[in-house]
Amino acid sequence: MWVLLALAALGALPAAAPPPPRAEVDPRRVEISPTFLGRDLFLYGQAEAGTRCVLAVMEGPPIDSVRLLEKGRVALFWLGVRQYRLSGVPGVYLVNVSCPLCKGLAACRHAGVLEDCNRLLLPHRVVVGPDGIAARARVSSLSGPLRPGEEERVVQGFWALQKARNLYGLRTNAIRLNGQGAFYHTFSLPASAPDGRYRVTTYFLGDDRLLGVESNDVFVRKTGMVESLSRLAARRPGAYGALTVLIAVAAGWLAGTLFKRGGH
Amino acid sequence: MKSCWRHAVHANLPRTDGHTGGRPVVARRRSLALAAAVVLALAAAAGVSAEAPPGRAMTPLQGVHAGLACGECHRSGSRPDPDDRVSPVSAKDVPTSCGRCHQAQLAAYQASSHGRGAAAGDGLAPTCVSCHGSHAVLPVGPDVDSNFASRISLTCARCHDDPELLRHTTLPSAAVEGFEATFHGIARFHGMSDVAGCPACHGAHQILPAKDPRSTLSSANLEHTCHACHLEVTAAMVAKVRHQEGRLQTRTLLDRFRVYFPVAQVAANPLLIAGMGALVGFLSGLFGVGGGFLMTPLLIFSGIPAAVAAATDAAQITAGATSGALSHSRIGNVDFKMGLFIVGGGWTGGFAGVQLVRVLRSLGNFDFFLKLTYVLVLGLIGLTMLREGMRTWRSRAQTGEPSRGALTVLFARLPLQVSFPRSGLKTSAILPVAAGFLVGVLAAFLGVGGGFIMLPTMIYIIGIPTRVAVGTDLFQIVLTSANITWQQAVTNHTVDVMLAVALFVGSVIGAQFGVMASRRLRGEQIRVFLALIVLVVMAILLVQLLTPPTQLIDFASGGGGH
Repeated sequence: MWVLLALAALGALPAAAPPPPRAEVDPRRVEISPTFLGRDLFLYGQAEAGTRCVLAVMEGPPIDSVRLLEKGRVALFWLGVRQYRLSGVPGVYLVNVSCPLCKGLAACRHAGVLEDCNRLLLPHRVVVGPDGIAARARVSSLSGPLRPGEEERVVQGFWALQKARNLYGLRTNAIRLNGQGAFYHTFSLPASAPDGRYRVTTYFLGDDRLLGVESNDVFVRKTGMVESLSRLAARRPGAYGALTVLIAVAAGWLAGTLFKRGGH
Repeated sequence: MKSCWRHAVHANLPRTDGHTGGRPVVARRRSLALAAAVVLALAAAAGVSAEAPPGRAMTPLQGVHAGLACGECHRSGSRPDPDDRVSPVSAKDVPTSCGRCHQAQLAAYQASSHGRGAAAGDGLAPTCVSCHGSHAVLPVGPDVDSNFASRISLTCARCHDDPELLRHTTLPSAAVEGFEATFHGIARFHGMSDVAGCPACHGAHQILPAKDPRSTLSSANLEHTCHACHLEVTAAMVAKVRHQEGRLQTRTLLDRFRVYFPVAQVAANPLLIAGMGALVGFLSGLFGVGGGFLMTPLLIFSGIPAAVAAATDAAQITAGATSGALSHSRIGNVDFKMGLFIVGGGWTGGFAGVQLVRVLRSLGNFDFFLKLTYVLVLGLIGLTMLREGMRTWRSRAQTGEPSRGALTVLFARLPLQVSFPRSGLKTSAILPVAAGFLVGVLAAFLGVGGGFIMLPTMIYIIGIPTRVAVGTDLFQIVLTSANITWQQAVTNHTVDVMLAVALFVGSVIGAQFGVMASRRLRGEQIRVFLALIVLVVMAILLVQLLTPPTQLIDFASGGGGH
């Protein structure tokens, strides 16, 4: 009898609820010291139920503006022929995407994965990857008005330059998503990454729609001697410049004196 | 049997038939387990404590061996103390005892580093119980959600991260620490149990050093080992999952001593930077040039942003030129009076040149003409100096100095006559000021400091002897580059003092050797070598202008060179 009652009670219980979606990052704070050579950030969590693809974007602090030039051939010579100013883009922009078809492979063979993701994100006015940067970049020409297709070429060139410095990147099949919805991946922060607040946005995508979004902040800050010198250079540049000159002259004087005493 | 029992640690327990031991009794597990439980219950009821070795509690069997009788391992009447050499569970005999049921694992263990160490009598070498425990052996395997499987790294860490043990053995010192820094280690730390732990790569029982060809980590087997989880294995993946210690061993010297430079915001090797400084300092001391033409590209090549490279280069030149000028002044090679006149003209010319460039740039694309002019000027100066120097060298003239040109003779007749005893000249003050002004304009116009242009101007136009020209040029470079350094720090915030210090260390020493070398050379020889370097720089610039770039879009950066 008791057994029957217990079984009935068990049957009346609701099915176990799926774990709530979440995204975590480790570490949340990255300190730039004289020994800083870059840092891998580990991101993990639980995807929304029904997630087919996980997309994560890490954006660094925005850059004020950057001056670019386009090289062209003039007679026999390759020279900068046109100059541009580009702004509105982040200093670091790294994108990781999962690919259920390429599990276990180092590189994704499905070039359309990001396009599929962007198709689902478009109703939310979100575009990720090189197209996302192109949509946000503001390009102006310093050598006359912009020509057709020139803006696109400049943004593509900027992406390639930043990619070569490991500050921009797109990795498909970079997020491991298991059958229970747990996911994990890494973002590699290079040594040249600027300090500031970084935002990691994780999108959970189902078959035909965006299921959820999670955000995390990572703070990259200079510490110790790196912080002191950076602050002095920015806030008291005159004193910083004088200090540099003083050290330079003192070093030269010291070497000259030492070599004289050394009998040379 | 009786005598054996009398000496056993359980002698004061009520007798049961659970101590017949010896052969495997899988079929009787349940009854034997019941008997063992009865033994413990009776002992507890009788108020008799089970006599365990000091410091060890007697615990009932759990885990995969829960159904076994005590006698299966301890055998009848035997002593359970692992430190007792006659016990079947002693450190020496426990592998054999376990191997009675686990033959395959025993064979693998005996071939491993652990097994060979234990067989050789190394008391610190682990046996079965070191990893699996004794009375609570848990199931293993990647698909088993057991505490043992998920915490395997911590199990290995009990020995491989024990500072006391590491101090007294030859175990790798940072194996666990290095693993925890890898992707696998971090993922496991956050509970991702499907990520590789230690045994996934090292194996479980037949653990061997990576240099052993049979090891799962040997160069021949490593890729195969990675393939167990990854369908596709790249060299980068292998490098990334290696322990920190392994990375350190394979890192080059350049990678190992990298330091983060705060304004440049990059990590670079200070030894490499100092080496570059030494090379450029040597040229500075020898020829009286700043060496920015070489230093700025070298810094950019080593990963320093172009703007920071050009600005910090000025600070380095200040140090190297100070060192060289000091040494030259001691041997009487610096004409301070002449230097101040030239600097006065040079600074004025530099300011005027910057304004001129700004106006010309706003009119349109001017870079083409700038660079082409630079190539032409360098080519002209280099060829002229080379021709004159070679002629003097071959003729072995007494003075070793070029004959005074028409300009020198002309200015000797103009007003504002000033005597420059160190240079052996009496000429109009207009000459050094005007020469400095023109070089300043040209330097600003071409985006260079002007050492290459200033030195030939001093020798051929003003008529200063070569050795004094070298020393005097260094003196004026100290003042000019110090000014540029300060201006760059204030205006562009691109001077990195840490990077500059790394450069100083090399450049000030290199400059001294340069000065020493200059003493062994005659004036015309210095001019010939300088002409050759000028021509090499011109050739490099020409090649850069003619070679198609890898990327058509590039960062616009200020020119460097002094």
